[in-house]
Amino acid sequence: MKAYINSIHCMAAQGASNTVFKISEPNYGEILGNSGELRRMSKLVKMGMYASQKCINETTLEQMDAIVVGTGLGGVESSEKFLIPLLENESSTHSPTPFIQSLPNSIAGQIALKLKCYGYNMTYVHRGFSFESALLDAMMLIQENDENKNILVGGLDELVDSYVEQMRQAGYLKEASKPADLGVVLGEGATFLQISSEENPQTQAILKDLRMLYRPENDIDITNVINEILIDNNLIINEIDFVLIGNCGDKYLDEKLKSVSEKQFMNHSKMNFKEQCGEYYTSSGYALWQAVQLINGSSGLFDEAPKTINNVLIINHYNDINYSIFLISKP
Amino acid sequence: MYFLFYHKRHKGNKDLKQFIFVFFVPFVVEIGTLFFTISLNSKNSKPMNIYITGMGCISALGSETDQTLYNLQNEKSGLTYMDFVETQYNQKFMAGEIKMSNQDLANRLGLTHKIPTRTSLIGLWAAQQAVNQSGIEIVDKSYKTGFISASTVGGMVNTERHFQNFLNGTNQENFVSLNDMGDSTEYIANTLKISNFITTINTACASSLNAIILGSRMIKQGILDRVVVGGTDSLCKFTINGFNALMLLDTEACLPFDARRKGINLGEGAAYLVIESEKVIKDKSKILAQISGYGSSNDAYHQTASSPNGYGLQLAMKAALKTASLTPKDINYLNAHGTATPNNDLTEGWAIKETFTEGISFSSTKCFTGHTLAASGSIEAVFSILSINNDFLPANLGFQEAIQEHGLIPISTTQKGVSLKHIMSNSAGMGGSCSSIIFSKP
Repeated sequence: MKAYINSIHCMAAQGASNTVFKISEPNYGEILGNSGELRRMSKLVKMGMYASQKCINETTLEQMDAIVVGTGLGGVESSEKFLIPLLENESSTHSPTPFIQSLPNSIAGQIALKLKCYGYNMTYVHRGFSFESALLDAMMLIQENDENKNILVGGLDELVDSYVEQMRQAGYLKEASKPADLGVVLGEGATFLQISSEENPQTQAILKDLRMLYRPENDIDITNVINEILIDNNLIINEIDFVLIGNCGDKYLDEKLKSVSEKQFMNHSKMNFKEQCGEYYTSSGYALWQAVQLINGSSGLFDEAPKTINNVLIINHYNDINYSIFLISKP
Repeated sequence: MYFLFYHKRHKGNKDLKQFIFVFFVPFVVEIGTLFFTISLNSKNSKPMNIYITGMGCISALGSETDQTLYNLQNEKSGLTYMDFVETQYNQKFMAGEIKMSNQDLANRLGLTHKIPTRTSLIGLWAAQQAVNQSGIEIVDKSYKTGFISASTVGGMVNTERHFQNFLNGTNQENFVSLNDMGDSTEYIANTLKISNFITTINTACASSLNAIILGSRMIKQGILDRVVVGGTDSLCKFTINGFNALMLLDTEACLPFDARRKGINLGEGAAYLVIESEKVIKDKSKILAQISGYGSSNDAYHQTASSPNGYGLQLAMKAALKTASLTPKDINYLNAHGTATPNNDLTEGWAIKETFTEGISFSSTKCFTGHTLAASGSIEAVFSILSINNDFLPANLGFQEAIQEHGLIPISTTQKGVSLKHIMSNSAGMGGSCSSIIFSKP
């Protein structure tokens, strides 16, 4: 099962931070038009509409056969916007807009509405498997029949201050009072890509493999899956030119991946990509974007990256529970 | 693809669109069927049959399948005013509530210490029933087993209990890690020890039907051998007020497909199916039904309302017929989405009329359970399988007066002793999600 990536757009924070990684919001109106509709959109919907449109603009296509989106949290901001007045006074009048926008499938739905796309439309909301599930579904669609040739896939999550505070109170975050190697730094971002069943002149990379691994017991479980991927794709480990690793910065949560990284990829060029984008449920979207940039020699982030990059491996985890591995290759 | 083409060319010309749709689409669908079969055969040597071998359901109709069947057959609705939901509206709107507290549910599940969210509790109850009925041994590592669940509001019922304290700075609970929609999925998967594949779908009210469809596709592609699929949602202040803000709730028992209908009664519930590939079923007597076709599309019309002729739903129903290689005449009964909102029942009615030009027996079972949101697709799947195995069709309770525009008349009293081969079930949700599935007698 493989897919050709013809276009990819990523909105992410750039540069290091020890508090939160927030995106700098673009002038949405430039791409989406300054309408009343834009003003009513939540930040997450705007991010989704913007990133998907930027992605589509880079293709030669006007229409998609299917739209598949992953979001771990959905519209957190809208959800709170609806919940807070409700808790204060349930019987007063409440606007339904934040309720509608809190629905995670409002992103894929609004993209379909804009494109007038009647095709398959799906939204995955499973933590660190959200973006992965969307990609897997899209790759299955390509495999199933000849009606789904061009698919838009997205992964996005927004960061809201009160969510950060809830995560801090629950003990997940890095704090001055804690040792530096404990806790995570949260981020946000949106990645949309257009994949197809066949290679075309726009093709930037090939997504050759994608595996999800739920609660592996140890690093050997992860290494075994990596070896399976290498065998299934006729590669040896030295043919992997770059490894993007999704360690989150918490030494306990990172234990397994750290061990994989040290044992299997000791002499490989590699990078902990969350040092650039922060931790969020769909951060593998950022990594996939970086992988495509690396393959095309357009990544400015990695000075030490080899000149020619043919194969990139992404190994990600969320909270030491949701592990995923991607193989991306030069067309 | 064809639809997209004509739509681009004839944008804005509605009459022409209708014309092309009615007269040309059947032809295209025929060719499409042929094409699909060929391409499928070229990719997989033999089309694989997929079967349901277990099911579990908990709703306002009860927590046991026998009880659910009895209530369905005897026209006993589960709609009442609310006893457990913490809302000011508990005596204003009728709903399909499960008459058990979280503690009762936990006791019945044998959970002694940490009690999860209500969404997880009812989900685990239904999923465990399904696994027990199928007799699959999840620990048997020679089979790849997955869990695909659906939820629209996840742990919101728990969050709204603690959020005010959070705002006041007095919160002591870790509600954030139970709030997302993946929480109940992981809780249930961990308890059932399913680990080969897990994910969660949220396509609003079409969520669990899409979970069933994804599971079926993963088995067909050989990614999984067997999969537990379905959905779970608990009643909460958030959804009650959301639908109230949209002015879509009925204070009395809802009246699907009736001219007098005023809106939805919300409900809560969970239902799961065990789906297996024909290759791995050891005991063929366990087979309850076959999944023979499915289709998903988007209505691409409005965020909360469906298009005037239910175009997305038409596409989904036609795609389901196509994957099943069946014609509308082969379908014996349709379990409609039928939420009882003015918009849904008008537009779904038109979609039914367009798809089943020679008519179809249909009803909505929302008048028994309320609209259970993410769980509705899998709950209605259980009802459809009960119908197939017990030769009956459930009534569209309270029906008196047809909707003037399309004049469709649902089944208004239970029909017993009917032989059923194929049943179709529809789901449609906000964001334009439309899905349809066909269950067949094995």
